[in-house]
Amino acid sequence: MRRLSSAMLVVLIVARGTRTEGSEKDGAPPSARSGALGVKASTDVAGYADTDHVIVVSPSIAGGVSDDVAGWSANARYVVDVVSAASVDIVSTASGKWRETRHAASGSFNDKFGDLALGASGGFSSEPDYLSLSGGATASLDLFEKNFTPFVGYSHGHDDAGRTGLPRAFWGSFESNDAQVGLTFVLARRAIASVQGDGRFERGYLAKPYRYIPVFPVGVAPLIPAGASIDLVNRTRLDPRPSDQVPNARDRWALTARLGYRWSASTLRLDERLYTDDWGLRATTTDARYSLDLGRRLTIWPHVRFHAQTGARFWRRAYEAERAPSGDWQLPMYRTGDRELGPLYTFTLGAGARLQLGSDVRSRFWLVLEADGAMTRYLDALFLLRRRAVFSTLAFEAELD
Amino acid sequence: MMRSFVAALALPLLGASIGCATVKPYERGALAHPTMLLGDMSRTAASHVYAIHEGATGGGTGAEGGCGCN
Repeated sequence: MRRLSSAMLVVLIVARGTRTEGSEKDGAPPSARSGALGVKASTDVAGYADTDHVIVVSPSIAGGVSDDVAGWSANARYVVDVVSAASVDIVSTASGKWRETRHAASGSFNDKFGDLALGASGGFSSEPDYLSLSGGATASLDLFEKNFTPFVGYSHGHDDAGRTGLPRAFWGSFESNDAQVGLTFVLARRAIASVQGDGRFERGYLAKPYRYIPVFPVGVAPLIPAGASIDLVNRTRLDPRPSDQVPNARDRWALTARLGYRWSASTLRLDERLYTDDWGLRATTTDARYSLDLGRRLTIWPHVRFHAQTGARFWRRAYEAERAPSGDWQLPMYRTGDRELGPLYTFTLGAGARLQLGSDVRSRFWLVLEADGAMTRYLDALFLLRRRAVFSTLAFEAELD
Repeated sequence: MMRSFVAALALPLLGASIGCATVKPYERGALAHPTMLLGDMSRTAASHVYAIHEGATGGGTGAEGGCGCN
């Protein structure tokens, strides 16, 4: 994967070199093809808290350099997540509250060669029990005076997952390949839309290493109600508590449509995603935002999002097990306690504001505040029937020439 | 599943090819507004929350284009 990222960067650099030679042949000095460098920088703090006793604080910094005339840009971002959790999944395994820090960084480089735009990106995420590396490339082509822009993308990821303190040799890992194809098209002077398809193919260890699944005697499992308490589960479950186990391959598909419509001082954005995978999970996600300019410096927006999904084919609220004549437990081959593999719906409602700072309307410093509240209803899960969460971001952004 | 997916993707793409207007560069003031970029509307932290809360994936914008600007 590192070789893939390096190769993509080399291709972009060579392509840039080729274009520079072309410029000189045209008789135009290189400086005529490049403008002043623009620099962007931002810092933000995001917070998350939910009724399952999970709290996350995430400070981040980001920066970028670009030349709008030449058409290239480079961006980087670094974020730290500090997670504190005492969720029902932890308490139900008689574990204590834990705290963990995740570090994540990403970078990208994009360039334009006439109507063709190419991009390369890479990222990593690291925490005591998880490591993720990824790299990818994108290409898009402006056609018919930029009224049609088809695009493709590909990325590869490698993830290692284990338990804190467990030697790395015993960690599980999986590979993922993501492919993307789509088209952005102008509908009218004030309307633009896009359609894209995504395929994600995961191979390897896809289970959750910390999850242990309660199993129940045959005939008892159907009597365990949704939202059953830890106490009820512990009183009725069998002794074995096997670890989470899911298929080691997953093919995931998504079809997404986006629409943007601009009035004189407001914009409506509508997104719809339809999703399916070969684990039997189906989902729909609808996202809408209405941005309203209140004067030249302040933009506000309400935001609404709705997500609903069915459960994976092997999802059970309560799994059954029984003893074989040999005395061994016969456990279900696939079992999971990951509620995001079960049927659920989530409704999110929020708002945001973006304020340009300074008395000069040409100054380019912004303050952004965004806050959302989400309610998730688990339709067929142990321990939890619903979870309420709030998350927000406060950001400071600057653009410098 | 691959065939169904390709068919589901091809249909709207075909419709887009037939039903679109040709807008000249000088008519694109509204399209060039920053809020009209068809990238993911969510900030990074919110996207991370959605990725964890939802069992679905996809729809991110590795490639962006078609804003009518640059």
